[in-house]
Amino acid sequence: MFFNEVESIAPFKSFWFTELINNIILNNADNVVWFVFFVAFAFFFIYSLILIYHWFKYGAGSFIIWLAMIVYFSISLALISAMYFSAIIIS
Amino acid sequence: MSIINLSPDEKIEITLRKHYFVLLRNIFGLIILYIAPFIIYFYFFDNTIIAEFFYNKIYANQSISVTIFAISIWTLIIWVKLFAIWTDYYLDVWFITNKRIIDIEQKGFFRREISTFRMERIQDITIEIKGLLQTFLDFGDIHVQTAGESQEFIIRGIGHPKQIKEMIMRQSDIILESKK
Repeated sequence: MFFNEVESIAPFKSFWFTELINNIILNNADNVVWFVFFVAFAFFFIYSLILIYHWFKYGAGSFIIWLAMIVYFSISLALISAMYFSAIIIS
Repeated sequence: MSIINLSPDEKIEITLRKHYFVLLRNIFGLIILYIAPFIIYFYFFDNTIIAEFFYNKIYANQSISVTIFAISIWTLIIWVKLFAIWTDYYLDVWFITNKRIIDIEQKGFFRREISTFRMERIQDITIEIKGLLQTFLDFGDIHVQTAGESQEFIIRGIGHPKQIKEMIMRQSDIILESKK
């Protein structure tokens, strides 16, 4: 039996709230993408500030802390770049 | 060392952290959390659902970008959380000096407890190794009975507990003999 995914989510559209959200997203896809990007970036930024504070205050500037920082920010930079460029392509 | 203040004739004998398995156990839950959306997506959904969500604007050629965008965000969140767990692990530390045991426990980001126990107050030490993994990986808890109001403190998930116990007992004996 063929499974139609579009039909499978159709019942949700009967609720005014989901319909409203659906319409907002459909009409503002660009904005939604950039909103999600900035929320994710804000989360990363605030968390990173807290992490750096703890690493420097309690980590006593040890080698492993510096190593952790390099690994953390290298991978984070790559992920943020991927997020950013894919957001540009989407919008 | 800037974290703790030592008296002039005090020196750190050993710095202890929890066994690496404790860290791996904490990370395991995060790994499950990370792969869960991928499993749900591949087993229960299809690209068309996401495409439907963003309507015609993001479809076909752009669906790869949406996938990369979503995966990047999810990976970044988990990556940050991973380092939060590691930081919590790394900042839990015990210093055994020739005079006392200093117990520093980081509980989340904004709660930090520092306890000090003098060697001469130590009355008894018990080690607890529970289960197969702790037995084979040689880690467990050390219960230190002390005289006074706070009667017991526990060093949890520490590697080589037998050797650590012997070291603490030896230091305690040295202190007690020097006071006779």
